[in-house]
Amino acid sequence: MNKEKIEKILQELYQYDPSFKEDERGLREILSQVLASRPEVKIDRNFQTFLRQRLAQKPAPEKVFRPASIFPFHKLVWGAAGLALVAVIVLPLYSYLTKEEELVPDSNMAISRVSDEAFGEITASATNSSLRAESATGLGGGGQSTKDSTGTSLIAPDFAGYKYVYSGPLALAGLDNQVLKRVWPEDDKSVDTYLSGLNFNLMDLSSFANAQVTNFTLRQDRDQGYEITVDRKRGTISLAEAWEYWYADTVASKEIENLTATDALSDSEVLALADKFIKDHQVRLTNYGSPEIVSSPAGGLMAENYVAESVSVIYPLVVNSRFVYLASGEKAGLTVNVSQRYGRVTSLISLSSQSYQASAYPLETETANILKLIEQGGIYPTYYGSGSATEYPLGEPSLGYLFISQENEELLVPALVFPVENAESYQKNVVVPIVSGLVENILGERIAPAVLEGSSGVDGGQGTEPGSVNASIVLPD
Amino acid sequence: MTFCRLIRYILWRLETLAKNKNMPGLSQEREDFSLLYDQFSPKIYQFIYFRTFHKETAEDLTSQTFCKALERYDRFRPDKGGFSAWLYAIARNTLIDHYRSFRPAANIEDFFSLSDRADAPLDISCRQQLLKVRKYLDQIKKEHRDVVIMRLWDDLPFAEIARLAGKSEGACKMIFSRAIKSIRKEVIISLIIILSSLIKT
Repeated sequence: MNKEKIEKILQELYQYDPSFKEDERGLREILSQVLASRPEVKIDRNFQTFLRQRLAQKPAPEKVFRPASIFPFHKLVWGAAGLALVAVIVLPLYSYLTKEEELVPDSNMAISRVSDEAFGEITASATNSSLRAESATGLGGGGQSTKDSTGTSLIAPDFAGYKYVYSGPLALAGLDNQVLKRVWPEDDKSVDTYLSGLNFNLMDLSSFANAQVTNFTLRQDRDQGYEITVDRKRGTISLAEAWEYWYADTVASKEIENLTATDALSDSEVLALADKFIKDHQVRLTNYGSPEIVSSPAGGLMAENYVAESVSVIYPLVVNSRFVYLASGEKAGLTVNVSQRYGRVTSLISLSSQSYQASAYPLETETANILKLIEQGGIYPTYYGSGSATEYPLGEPSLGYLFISQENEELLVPALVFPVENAESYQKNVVVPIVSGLVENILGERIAPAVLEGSSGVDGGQGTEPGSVNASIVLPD
Repeated sequence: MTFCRLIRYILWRLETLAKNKNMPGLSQEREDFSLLYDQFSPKIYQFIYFRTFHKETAEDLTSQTFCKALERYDRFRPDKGGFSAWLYAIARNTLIDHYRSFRPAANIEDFFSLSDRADAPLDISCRQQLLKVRKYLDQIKKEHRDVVIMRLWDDLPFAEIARLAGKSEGACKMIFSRAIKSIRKEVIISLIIILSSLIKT
């Protein structure tokens, strides 16, 4: 390498001053010595990645309008004419142009481009809903348990099969092929050093090299106080009511009464309470759209006059002017639960930092594969049972993102979102990813439903260990 | 605001809106910058390292360089020179600011003498190499050293060196050839001295 470089530099020198040729050997020696003394240094990969992330998270600089000085209009008359024009035409035009558009809350979102297929293989096996909490229905606002207070499973409803039908045109060419990966934020490392000093003189926590504070909890010591959880690694903040400051007395005195229709808040009241909470605590909604009430699915199991303890409001996440969806077809985003009993916000879930890396992936070209996923209602297979399935027609698709969580990373995969044109449907949208690798994985991994044989039920038959299932699994041909 | 400026403002605003519409969220500028970062960060890091000889300082100044570049990226005009020259100029100015924290009147040519200072951190692994290269570079004027280093270590073409040094390409070539001549002359003189002392003994 140095040899080539020496030759090149010698040629440059000869061109400039041919007398250099007289002592080529000495010249070569000098050049090779200077080149050899060049420190062999390479940029640290970790530093390079860190700086890349830091730059990606840096807000875009404010664009400044700098007009070049052109025609000098110094005369008063021109100034007055200009002002009159401003008043009549330009101000309304300016106000129109500077008006906030409804679906562009992500204008400052940091997205940096990385090489193609940089996030490896995308699979849908671990898709979860960390971006969306289920609406809370009972005291305490948990709402995610599938078991009642006695620990037994709820009785499953009759199984119903669904089939989704899309009969419109399907053009896959030219769609967005950028998969986005959320980048965990870098923050102040001094917190780690400071907190490792809080050891009650029990042991030297700082002796554990590179120990980091991954998350911490703050608790308000007051009536109806909140417990705030900060996940430092993932850059998320959630809060929920501190249970003992809200319900401990009520539960102890056994004075819980079901809510009645008169306790129910109107949608506008719920939205106003959520908005006030957001405003009071300066929650940054830069990347979230207008709030929506999360309505309960039609034909639920609850009694007709049942009034839920709380109502959920979602501020949908908007990335590249598109909504992000969970595999279930629900919009992902920031969830705020409002208690109808107390008329207060009880929890706020999934407020997360929004910096992404973008990587191009090949798109699915087989329309038949997309249609298969449409029919089954998305990325999870549907079991039609022995009877016939109810058919739900789908409307024109729009572009969105499918939220996928895999191996400690969160991905947004470009997807077609088909609205279900039937008010009775539990699923509001069918979300179909368009990245070919993921489509192949889903279709390839599709396992036919297992039929349990020789078992009295999932509680286990006679002689089984508690909690185990004694069943033989027969896979259909 | 004059009428003409208003018209220009409206046109500028329309252009910005049109751009935003085409690239919602994922700004084209950010995307371009990201690709340029991948291409230039190793080179800029080396450029700074060769003038500080200290890993942490080089990383700090590289960060500063790219942060400044990102902040000013909308002012970068490709028609007034390439991105490389623009970025190296930012790195060079960042280095000068850094040197001036040690010595207020310092300039970039002083980097060899500054890196010898006790209060300037220096990687141990570089000390030997610095001694080696000093044997040659101490022979030339300090304002010529940077041109030699830019050509030999940073591998920058003369056109780019000229833009950075604020000189013509011809002048840079002349500086380089004179610097090499001085080194050669000094090497020959020292060889004669060594030989004559050997003959005497």
